[in-house]
Amino acid sequence: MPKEINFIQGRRKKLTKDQKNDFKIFKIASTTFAILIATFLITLGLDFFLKFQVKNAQEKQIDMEKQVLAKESVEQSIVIATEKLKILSELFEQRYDKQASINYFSNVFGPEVLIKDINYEANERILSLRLQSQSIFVLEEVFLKLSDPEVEAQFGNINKSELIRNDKGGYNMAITLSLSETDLQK
Amino acid sequence: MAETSKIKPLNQQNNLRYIYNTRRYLVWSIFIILLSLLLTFVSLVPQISSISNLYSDLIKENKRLAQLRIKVAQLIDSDNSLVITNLNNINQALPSKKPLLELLTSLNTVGNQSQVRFNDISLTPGKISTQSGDVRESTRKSNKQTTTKVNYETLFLDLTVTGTISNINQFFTEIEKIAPFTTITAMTLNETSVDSLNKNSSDTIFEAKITITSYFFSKSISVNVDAKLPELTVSQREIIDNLQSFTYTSQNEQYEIQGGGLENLFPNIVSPI
Repeated sequence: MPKEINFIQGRRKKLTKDQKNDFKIFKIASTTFAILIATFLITLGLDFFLKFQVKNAQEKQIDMEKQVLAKESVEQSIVIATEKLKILSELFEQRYDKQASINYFSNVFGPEVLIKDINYEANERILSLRLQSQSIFVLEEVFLKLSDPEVEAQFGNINKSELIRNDKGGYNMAITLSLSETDLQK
Repeated sequence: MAETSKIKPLNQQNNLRYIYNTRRYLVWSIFIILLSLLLTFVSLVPQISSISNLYSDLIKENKRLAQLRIKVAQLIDSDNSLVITNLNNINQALPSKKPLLELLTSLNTVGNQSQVRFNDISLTPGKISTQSGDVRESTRKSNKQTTTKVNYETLFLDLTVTGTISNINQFFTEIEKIAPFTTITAMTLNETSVDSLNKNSSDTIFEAKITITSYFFSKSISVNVDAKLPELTVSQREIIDNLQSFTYTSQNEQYEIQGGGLENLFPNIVSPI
């Protein structure tokens, strides 16, 4: 029969096993903590770096803005001139249609037909012409030319009206066309 | 019974000491885990969020910086740009104020060139334009009751000129090449008589009643410091080429009384220039 009975032997064995598990947990926890500390330091550095970069960019912007402001009058001139060119481009286009139509009809009608009146409604883009000729036969030719499919294809429907004989024995005729319907080759 | 009574119950402090002595690593692990959680939620998460914001700020700032760099480069190169070299022509073709004097001077020039005689000039000047009107954007209601922005204003002038048909034709051609930009909106041609000035001439004299419209700029413009300079389109370059063939007049602004031996009635007023 043994002299001493060790009641805590089993307890020590259990503790050693738990302590081993605790040490494993401790290793995992401390490694995670170290990673977190490293991440924190990296993010802190990154934060400083980005703040420096932003500040640097803002300082450069201020420098650039000063250079832009020094040339403010030039910028103003360029912007206003470009806006004016946009408007001029639009006005030139409107006027081109009118000029091209008048030139076209002057050539189509020939020298015996005088374009006596011109009226151009810029907003509605409607062109009205009053034609005069000494011969009714010339105006009849004009009438036929205006009904020509080629002319109609270019100018749409041309309204012909007021064919009258004037005091001097000549003949007048009015035509009206909408330039918004035209297909002028530019 | 006597042995059992000798064992004293452990107090709280001794309990903790016992736990620490036996489960030291577990205690430290719990402490580290708590510290990690604290570090994560108190420092790391806000830090990452801050970095994310800073990064997007940096992208924005760099983008703006790049735009400003481009703009500075454009402004440095602008001295030789097509717009700046033709600035005077553009401003005369579409002035920023009502161009009545300029229009009359140009009409006189083309009238002399095409040898037509002015019989009558009448105009509807409209409201008096001021320099402050240069930056006012006007709106005009069309017939369809819709409001459309109009970036320019018009000046109408009625003219009656006489001359031979070739002279009047030349006048019509030249009038659409003057600065300020002018277009004929209505015209009536009437045969009047044989040239009374030149008896030997058999040319028929015509009287032309015309309505011309001149345009001037009235748009308000605002520009951001970092906005890029506008680039010219092909059609705008063509317009600049077309403006080369225009007839321009030089109208110097008068800031002081000149000639005539007149006394300066306002000696206390200092000239702005």
